[in-house]
Amino acid sequence: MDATPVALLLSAFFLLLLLKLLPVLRGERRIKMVVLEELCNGCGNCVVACPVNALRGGVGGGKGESGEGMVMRIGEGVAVEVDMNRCERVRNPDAEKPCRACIDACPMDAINFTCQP
Amino acid sequence: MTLFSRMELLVNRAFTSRYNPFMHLGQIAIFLLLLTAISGIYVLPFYSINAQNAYISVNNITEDRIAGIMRSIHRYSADALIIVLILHGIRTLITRRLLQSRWLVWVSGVLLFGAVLIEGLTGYWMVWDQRAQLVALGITEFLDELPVFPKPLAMSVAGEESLTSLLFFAVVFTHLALPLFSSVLLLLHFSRLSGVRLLPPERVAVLLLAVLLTLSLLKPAISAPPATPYDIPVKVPVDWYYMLPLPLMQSHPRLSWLLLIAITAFLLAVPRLLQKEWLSARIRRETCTGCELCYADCPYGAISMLKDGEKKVASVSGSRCAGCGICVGSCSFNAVEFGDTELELLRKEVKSLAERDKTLVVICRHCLGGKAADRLMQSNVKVLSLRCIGMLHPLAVADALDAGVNKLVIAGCKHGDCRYRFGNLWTEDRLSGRRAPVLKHPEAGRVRLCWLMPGEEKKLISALEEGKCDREKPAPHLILMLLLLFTLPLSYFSTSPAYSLMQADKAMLLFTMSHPGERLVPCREPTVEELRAGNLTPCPRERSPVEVVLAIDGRTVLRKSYQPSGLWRDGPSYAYERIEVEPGEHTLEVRIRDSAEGEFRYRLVERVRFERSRVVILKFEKGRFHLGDG
Repeated sequence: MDATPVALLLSAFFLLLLLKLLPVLRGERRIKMVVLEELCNGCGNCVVACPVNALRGGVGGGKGESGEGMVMRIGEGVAVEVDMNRCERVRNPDAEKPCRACIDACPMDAINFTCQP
Repeated sequence: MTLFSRMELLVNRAFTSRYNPFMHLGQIAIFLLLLTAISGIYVLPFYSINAQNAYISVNNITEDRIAGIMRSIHRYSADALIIVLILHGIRTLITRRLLQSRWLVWVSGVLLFGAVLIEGLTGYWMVWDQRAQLVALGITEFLDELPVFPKPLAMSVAGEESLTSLLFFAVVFTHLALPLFSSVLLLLHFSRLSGVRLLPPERVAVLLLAVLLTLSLLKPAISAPPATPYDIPVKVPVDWYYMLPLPLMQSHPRLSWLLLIAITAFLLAVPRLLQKEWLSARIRRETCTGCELCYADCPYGAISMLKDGEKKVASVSGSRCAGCGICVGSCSFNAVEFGDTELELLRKEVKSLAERDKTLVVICRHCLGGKAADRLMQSNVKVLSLRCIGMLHPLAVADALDAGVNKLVIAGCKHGDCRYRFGNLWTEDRLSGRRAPVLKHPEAGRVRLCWLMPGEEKKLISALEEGKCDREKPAPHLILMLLLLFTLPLSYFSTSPAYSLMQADKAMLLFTMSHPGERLVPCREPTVEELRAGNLTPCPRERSPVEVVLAIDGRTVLRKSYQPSGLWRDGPSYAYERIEVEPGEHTLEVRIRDSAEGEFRYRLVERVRFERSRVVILKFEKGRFHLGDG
């Protein structure tokens, strides 16, 4: 009896399982924006400075009230993240010079980025 | 400088630190494990699980084109795994990556290594060729040295009945099930790390796979001749990566048990023996702002965020702290206390060291410690030696720049080589603005980073003079040479030199016995009352040992008394003896006495022809002798 089909099927199944696990095995890093709420004064400079936010209108007043298509907005007096998947820094973390527009714009040094393990 | 770090330096010159296999040994081991798993799963459906057909089915695997390659990969990746694991262990030991909370990683690693060895030995057993016979004899005789199995396991490996299917099944089961069980150990191995990368860099993986594939095509894994219980395995090609202990196991089983226990105990105790003080970080609750930066930076996942009333507060689990101090470098609020240091003290030290128009060097104690620091001190350079370069907070760097130092060089281990995993990475990211807390200083560009390996102190000094560290370039000819240096022993020792259980020009007599001795106290028939009470043997059940005297040509070669088996000493006595005999015709005389006093009740005298490299089996069972040969 030729066992090749069974062998192929079994190892293909195992390989598929491995592929599913690949992100875990490669240890991909999740990048997260951390806003120190104690420091943040809700000025909205980050919302205006963010190049991704600027692509959409509606950041008038610097608060980004709708939050649609934005990385962060001001809510309840502090900056909150809306959709980090849009963030240039998250999308391109290994760039030669990762985007740091919001960090530089913050007068209170309240914005940080961390790699969540 | 140790031989090992010299070797590592050479390898690094060839591969550069990014692809240096020495810095990815654990990941390479995982990759090899996955390769063995895939190839093993592929050949599994071809295999028939019994001693009669195993050899033929394995031969079919070899003849099948894909499965044959898979078998070879299965073998060579298993062999490479041993090399890689030993290097992994040595490296962990000499760089002391097993202290504090990391003892668990070491202990689980030692146990995993044992599991890999068992996997290899049972794997070779499954083929049931002459090599398997050697392994089987080795293991069973080794296990029989322990008073666990009443009937010697070796009896079912050697001799007429060849191999009971149950034992064979147990072996196959072990080979298939052990990986599942040891994956728990593997999880434990990673459990105290955060942000683990389990796979090596792609190029390393591809190179390794290419090496293994080439080896599989050039020198496919083949079986030894089929197992024959009536032949002495002579000049069998054995895999020394797994069978190195076999000769000692077969010649001195008791000594090897002692060695095995001693070595295992020593290895398990190593972290405890090396541990001097347990340094662990502590968080000041009052000052902690709950910013999560230390939580994100800790390479060992030792920090967790707790709720403290309204705010969140970081907390260090002491048993998981590896004592690196990286959290000192991530907390801008001086909330981390680490031994006798903290951010404020570190900043004070930097301020006192930094002088206008002088050079300040911050070095990692592990890779550039000791001599390098002394030599630098003499050359009128201020040196700050840290436990981990990750302790250096950007605020301290800014302090040094504020003081107006001429040059500020930060030197630590190469990427991937940090003693505490991420110290150098985090520092580089913090200073270049990729990671919080970032360095905010107009003169931030003046800081020079220099990542070096132990033994590269000279480079640091030249870096000080020229103001920059040199770039690494891969050296293809060195890579080729190192690959050959890895591949040749891998291929050679997987089959050579050949091993013989006994000298080729000798013959062997294998004597096995299973015979109950007489009761020490003759028993009467139980009375009806006793039978009713369920007492079938109303007298002591202990049996007498069985004494065997075996003589060849009138010369006694074996005189031994075999104790009855069982806790109550009421079972049969078992014997299993291998006796080396000169080839030729001999008179064989065996006398067996199965009562305490009294005469030798069983006796056999016979002329027997012993032929070179063949086994004559003498069995004594149910009061009868069976003499058989091929």
